[in-house]
Amino acid sequence: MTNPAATLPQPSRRVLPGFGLSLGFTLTYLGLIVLLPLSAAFLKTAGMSWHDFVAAVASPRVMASYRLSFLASLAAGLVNSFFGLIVAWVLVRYSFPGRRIVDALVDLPFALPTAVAGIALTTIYNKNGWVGQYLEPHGIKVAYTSIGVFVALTFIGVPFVVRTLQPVLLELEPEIEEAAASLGANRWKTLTRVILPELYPALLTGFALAFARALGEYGSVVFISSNMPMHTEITPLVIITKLEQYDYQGATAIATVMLMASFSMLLLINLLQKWSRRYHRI
Amino acid sequence: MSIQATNIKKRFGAFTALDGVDLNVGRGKLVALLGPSGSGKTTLLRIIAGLEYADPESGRIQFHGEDVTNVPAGQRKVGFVFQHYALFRHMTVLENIAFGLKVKPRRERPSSAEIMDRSRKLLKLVQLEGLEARYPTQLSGGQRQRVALARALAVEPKVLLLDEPFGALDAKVRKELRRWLRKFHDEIQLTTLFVTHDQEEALEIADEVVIMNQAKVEQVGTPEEVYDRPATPFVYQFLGNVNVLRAQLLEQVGAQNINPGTLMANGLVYVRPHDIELAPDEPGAGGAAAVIRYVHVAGPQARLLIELVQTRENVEAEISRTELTSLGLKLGDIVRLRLRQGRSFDDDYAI
Amino acid sequence: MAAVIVSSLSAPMPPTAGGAPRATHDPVWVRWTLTAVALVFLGFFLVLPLAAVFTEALWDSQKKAFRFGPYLAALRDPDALAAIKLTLITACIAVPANVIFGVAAAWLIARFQFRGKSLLSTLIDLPFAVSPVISGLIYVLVFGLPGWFGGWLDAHDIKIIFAVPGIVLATTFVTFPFVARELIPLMQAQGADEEYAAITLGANGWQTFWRVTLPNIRWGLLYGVILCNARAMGEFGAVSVVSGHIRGETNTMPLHVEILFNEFNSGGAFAVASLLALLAILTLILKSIIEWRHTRSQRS
Repeated sequence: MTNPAATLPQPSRRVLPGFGLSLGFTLTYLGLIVLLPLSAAFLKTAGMSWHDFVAAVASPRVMASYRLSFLASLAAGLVNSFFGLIVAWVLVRYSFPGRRIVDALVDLPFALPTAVAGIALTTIYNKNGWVGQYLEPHGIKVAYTSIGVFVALTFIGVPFVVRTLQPVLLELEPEIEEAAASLGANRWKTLTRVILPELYPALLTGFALAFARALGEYGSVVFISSNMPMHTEITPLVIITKLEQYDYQGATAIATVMLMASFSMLLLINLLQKWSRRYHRI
Repeated sequence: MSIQATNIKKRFGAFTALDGVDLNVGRGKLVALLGPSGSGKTTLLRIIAGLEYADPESGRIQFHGEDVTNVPAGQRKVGFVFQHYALFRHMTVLENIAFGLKVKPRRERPSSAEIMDRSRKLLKLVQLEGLEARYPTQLSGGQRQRVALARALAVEPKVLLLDEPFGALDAKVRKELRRWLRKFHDEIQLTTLFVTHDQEEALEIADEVVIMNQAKVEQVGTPEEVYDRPATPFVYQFLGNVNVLRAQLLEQVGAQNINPGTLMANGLVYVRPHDIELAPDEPGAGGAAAVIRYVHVAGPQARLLIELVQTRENVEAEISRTELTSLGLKLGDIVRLRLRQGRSFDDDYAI
Repeated sequence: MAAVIVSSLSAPMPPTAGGAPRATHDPVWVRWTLTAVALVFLGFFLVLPLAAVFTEALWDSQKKAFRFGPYLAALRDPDALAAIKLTLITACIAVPANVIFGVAAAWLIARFQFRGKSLLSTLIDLPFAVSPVISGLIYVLVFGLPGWFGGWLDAHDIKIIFAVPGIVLATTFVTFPFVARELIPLMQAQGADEEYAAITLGANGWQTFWRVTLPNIRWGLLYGVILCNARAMGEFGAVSVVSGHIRGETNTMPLHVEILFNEFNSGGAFAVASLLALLAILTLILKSIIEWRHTRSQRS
């Protein structure tokens, strides 16, 4: 802490009031609510022996849960990227009756409590449900299987890709497309050579956001999944199970692994957003 | 109330915005702070207003001899008009003007009837009667500018500071408003300092012009002084067009008013295009021979680009249209070139 | 900075009136196909679950009749009422706390230059990156019986975990960034000139804040509050970890839904869920109104 200004008779002065007050309050509140509890997880894990740690985070049951969480989140993210691109395109480019209602509805997964979404999806996809009754005769079971996990994770990820793509699509100047058209490119070529490359960074950001959210999701999944160890058990559920068995160390160790994964995703998303702004900011 | 700033310094990280600047604004004067962007003029204005504090090793800022260096902005009694007006967007025009009176401590605050009365008077002063209930977004740029001015005047400031007051307006409104400001200033006689990067604006309305460049003051003077007798090469180039010629030519071109004493061997001479005299290339005519490369006629003036035969230097000349016709000059002609006046500077003044 | 830009007033808003006419149109069949695909996708994943909540709550499929009686009975159940009350109490503490924090953080970050500013911005977003389950777990590690203060709290007979304070803390954590993340870009975009103008006109700090800053950010603040509130009332994972699941005492509405559903009381579960779904719909409507107002004011 060698601040040259601090040694001078008048430390750097600020014209607007409230710097000290807002800095003090922000840091205290952030420290108490976020940093202190989060550090508890890391400190608790740091107190474990390496052997115990590996045993806790790499047991077959936990590994199976990583696999399910990762693959289901990946699949949900990919599906959302594909359909999210279409939804964003339709909402920005076309007009149709009820467009604004549809636009507002996209945020439903943010507003609807995950438990409500969970029981609703379970009811729709079980064997008597609105959709389930048509799928089961064909041997497709959704509720209480890993497909159900994928469906729930898709639901909670819907807004991410749409909402990251919309502003980029809006800012895309129509002149670019006109220029491409005037240079003789047909619509398909304009789309694949001119429009899509502009969208890739935002699309990737949206995918990463949806994927990261899906990795940690709990509420909507526990209802639609049968939560069978080794088969349909996601990692957050393993943590809960360990907690219920009073295995705090084991739960914290797995939580630490998940936190590392989340923070890496956060870092990646930050970098992606910098990259996606490279054409737009000076 | 006069303004004195002495030895003002301000650094932002590695960037020096002000490098020991002195400024004096006489009582009741309208003074322009003129310079290119990044020259430090807005920073100086904000430091005078108290919106920025100068570096601690700086000198003082005084209003009429009273030291205000450490006085907070709100107590300096300055009226400040922001470049983009900074009107309170959720308040009406009248509420904007009344703001400064409404936030006064209870014992200094006029009654609400008086606040309204004074605000209405100011509205009339800036010729915006009838618009009191409008919101800033419902006004034109020129109207917003005048609301900002009225709002600043409401607290009866001792000095008025304006940051690029016409910068955000279109060319026509700009001209109207700056003449209006000059008239307005003559009526209210308030010491006023305004920042601009537009030399035409500064020269037209200011009593005195302070020209800044790269964190320093280059020259201070009346508009005539700074235009006719630029103190530095920078001022020469910043205020209007100028030709830079090599001094060896001087003998040939027969320049008057150039003091040879200041000329170094490799010195340069600064000549305004309208100080160049052209004559037909006749035997015995003095001056340097040059070829006409380009003629552009716009309005009453003609601009010519001519190339000196000897050194192949390009020179811009400006003569009246009548002169052009009477000389009968056309593209490719050879002419004789003389300088009516010009200036040279020591090498220290390298640009 | 803001790592999780998802829905924000400061992002460009879609044009309201049917989109600007574009010179480069897609062929009609492409438009129809894409619109149909988008609507079917959203219909399956968004409309269907929402419709299911209300149908299951109000329609008896065996008797083929509405079931208003059981619906109201499920909501009047003392445990349901206790859950509603606890949810409201939790939101009434967590939301104002995060509003005060959000305003302070936005004032700090949008109005001052200081070292570590971008690090601070990232740290504010951190709770969004944490799984809800872990958000609950970390409070157990601090205040739970095996945690740092567990022994001391137990000795003084203070209950935080498996009690209301734990629920409030976990909810505050998961809703921590909502208001700040909304206000910071808004205040940065608005710039500080109006505050500077107020200062030169003699206003003091609080006058500047109440008369100039707050009116300017009120819509963004409301927007943040609405999103923060929706999440606070609906949070499940984090609260599930720190709640003792004691009926009538430490059950919030989402937890009550879970218990009823797991007891095969589907009607009761969906009755309570329908209230939460109504809250969600209300949230979306208010959000759209604010966005619409914002777009309109941006244009004028």
